[in-house]
Amino acid sequence: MENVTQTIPEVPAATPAEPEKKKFHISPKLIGDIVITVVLALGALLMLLPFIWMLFATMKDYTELYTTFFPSTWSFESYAQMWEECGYLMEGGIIRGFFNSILTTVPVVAVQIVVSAFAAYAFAKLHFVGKNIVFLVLLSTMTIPFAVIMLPQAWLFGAMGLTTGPLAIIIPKFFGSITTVFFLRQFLYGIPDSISEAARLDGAGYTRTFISVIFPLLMPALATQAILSFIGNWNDFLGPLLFVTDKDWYTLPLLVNRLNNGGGSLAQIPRSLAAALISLVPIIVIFAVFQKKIIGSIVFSAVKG
Amino acid sequence: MEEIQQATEVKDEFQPTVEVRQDNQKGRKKRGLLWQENIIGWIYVAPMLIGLFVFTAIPLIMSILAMFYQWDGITGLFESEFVGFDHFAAIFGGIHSAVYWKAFGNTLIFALQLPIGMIVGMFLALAMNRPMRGVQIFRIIYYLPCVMSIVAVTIIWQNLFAFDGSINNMLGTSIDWLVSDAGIAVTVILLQVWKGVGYTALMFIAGLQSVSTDQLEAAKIDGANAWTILIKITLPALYPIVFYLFVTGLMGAMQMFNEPFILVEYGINNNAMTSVSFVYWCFGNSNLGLASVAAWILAFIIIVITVIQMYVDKRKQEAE
Repeated sequence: MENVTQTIPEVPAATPAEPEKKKFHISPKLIGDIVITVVLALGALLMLLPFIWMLFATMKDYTELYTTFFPSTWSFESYAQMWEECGYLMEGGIIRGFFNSILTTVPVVAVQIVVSAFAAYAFAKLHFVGKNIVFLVLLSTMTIPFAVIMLPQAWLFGAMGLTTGPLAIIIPKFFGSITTVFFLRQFLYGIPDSISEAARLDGAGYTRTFISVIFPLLMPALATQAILSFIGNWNDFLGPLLFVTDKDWYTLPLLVNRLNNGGGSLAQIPRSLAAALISLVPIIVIFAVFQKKIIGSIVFSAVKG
Repeated sequence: MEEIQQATEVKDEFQPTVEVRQDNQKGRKKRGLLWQENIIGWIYVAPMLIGLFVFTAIPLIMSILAMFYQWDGITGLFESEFVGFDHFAAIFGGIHSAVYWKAFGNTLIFALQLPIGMIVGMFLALAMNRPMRGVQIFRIIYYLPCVMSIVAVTIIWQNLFAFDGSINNMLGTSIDWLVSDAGIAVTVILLQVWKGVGYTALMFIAGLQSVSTDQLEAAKIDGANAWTILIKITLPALYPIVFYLFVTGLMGAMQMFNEPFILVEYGINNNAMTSVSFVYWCFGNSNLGLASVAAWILAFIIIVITVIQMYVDKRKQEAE
């Protein structure tokens, strides 16, 4: 909603670093570069320190948890404890947590993206009565705070019998996401109409034109949206907290949170940190592989914003 | 024969649209397919409309009605007792007023992360916009916390800021970060700034790259110094992004829940409760009517922000 009417001039994506000149005299630019690099490096260290602290904390003896930075003895004891503790908390332990998280993200993302793509195609390329009103209505739902609808939703899902399993956080997302539609619609405006017109003239129906001609062109945008949606769903906390009542269907964030709340003693902290770290691994991998796409999407949203 | 006639009639009904469409797309001669396009278009958007109706519209209407009922969220809404404006009275001056307005105030205090994050993000963006080696790696590192699970990072901060935790040990202080009002505010604000500053910086970088190089060159030739260029050219060019980040950030900040909730014993302690944790707290107490009133106060604030945003955008467009 908030990003419809603003216009920001087109910009190229991130500028590549200027080719360095092969001369070795100390220019003001060089001094500036060095100073800024040092400052940025210190800041970057600050950004990473909490994660490094967590990594070391899982390998320390709990007695030195807060007193040292580097472990005096390295052990993987807390991972074994975490494994065991998760087994007590839910059937299947942390493996089940992973399974639940995958089950509530991968199919959700796949269906959500396809449904949103069809809707975006309709909004961008087809002409039907009431199109603009429908789009505005959908867009306006983006401003509704989740807090307003979450409790009636919880009741509704309960009445539908969805809250005993994972379905309450799966099924509603099958119906597409307006954020994705908005993004894909912008992308589709960049594809000339003549492409789909040509396919149509060759006798292809709307659906076939979309699937065989437009869909392949949309792939890069779909991939970006799929990654962002996956990260969002994987990290989601409040939704599962409200809608998943059966412990055996806890997603990883819920499991980690529960483990963290399980006990107050210092000895139990390394194991919750171990679980937290393990839950981050898929996101770290995805971010490492797709960081260009993820960061590119921010530039896109800043431009289209 | 009859069928053909019917088809023509259908076509006639859509005649006005055909004209509009012909204006939009010159040279298209597929009028016969128009009714089909209408149907296909609606079919493509149908799942979204069904989802909107079932999972947004119905709960929305229920939450409006729930404001006037003593609803426990287990039985049906209309089987509950109608209590009129009792919940409003409870929040505006009644028994829940102290807790609610404390939560509301906390939310506003925690929102201080927004201006702080934007200032830090602006400096980071100015630094990372320099064409120099390794800058891409910095952008990735600063953005990293944004994609991380909020539960995992909050647990880290919970331990860093525990009373006997690493921060107090390192500084040699004994500050009750997670107990006192000020302590929690500082912890939550630092956590949010740390987690969000990479995003803010990347948005600003995108904005900085939209500053026209011609203008910068011209300013340099005229002998403007770096400071003047920053104030007169760069910052004004960033205005749309500042505005966008502020508005979306404010909406997000008003709905803060996760960080204080996980940080402090489920965030239900008075000093860490936010507007949304108040709603969750009501849910725990099976008082969905009270929860709805609190949620709609939040919605009202969001609506006001949206209206202001639309007004500003409109004024800006008119000025252009």
